[in-house]
Amino acid sequence: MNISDFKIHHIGVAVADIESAAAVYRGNGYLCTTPIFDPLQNVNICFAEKPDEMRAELLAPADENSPVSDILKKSGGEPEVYHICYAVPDIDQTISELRKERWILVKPPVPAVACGNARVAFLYSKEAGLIELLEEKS
Amino acid sequence: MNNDISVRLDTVFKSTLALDNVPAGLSQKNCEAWDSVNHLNLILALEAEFGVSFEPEEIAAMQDLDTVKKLLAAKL
Repeated sequence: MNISDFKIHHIGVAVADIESAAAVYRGNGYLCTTPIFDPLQNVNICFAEKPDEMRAELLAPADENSPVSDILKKSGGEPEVYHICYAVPDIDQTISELRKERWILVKPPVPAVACGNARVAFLYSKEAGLIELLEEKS
Repeated sequence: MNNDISVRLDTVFKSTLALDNVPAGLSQKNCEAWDSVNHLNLILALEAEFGVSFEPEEIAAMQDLDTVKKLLAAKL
């Protein structure tokens, strides 16, 4: 299995403040969704979209216990692109196949409120870094 | 945990976290190098070294050396 076979759904950008980051994107012609709190990831999320451009998911930690807090600590508080999200038709099958190729499953599939409760999961490989899978049923 | 496994475990920790030694009581809280990214690299290195596989809840729980030893020993 090659992850490049999948369609990229968005890039995930860790930011310190969701409103400030969204304002910058809006100033550059992006439409930003209303921020939504994701209790499973303990983050505030909004999507920044622009025709023919890569969709960005802005994620700000809700508190210090959020995994995004660690990313920002490491980046010195600067925004950081830290994952690429791929849309897949069958998340369980994709996870199973990636596990055979030495990806570790960091977060098992859970419904994502920011994605209409579609299931998402996170996997990591030393060579490719962190990816998110988003299940998009056809 | 026998001595051979302890030695191999120490080697994985030293290599992944660039440590000179692996003190008892080592944890994410007292080791700056054991950050969120190196935590995942540590899991990958453990899986490769010992031929085991960890579940997400185990990966989340492995925040200190003692827990790593305990979870690893249960798989060997």
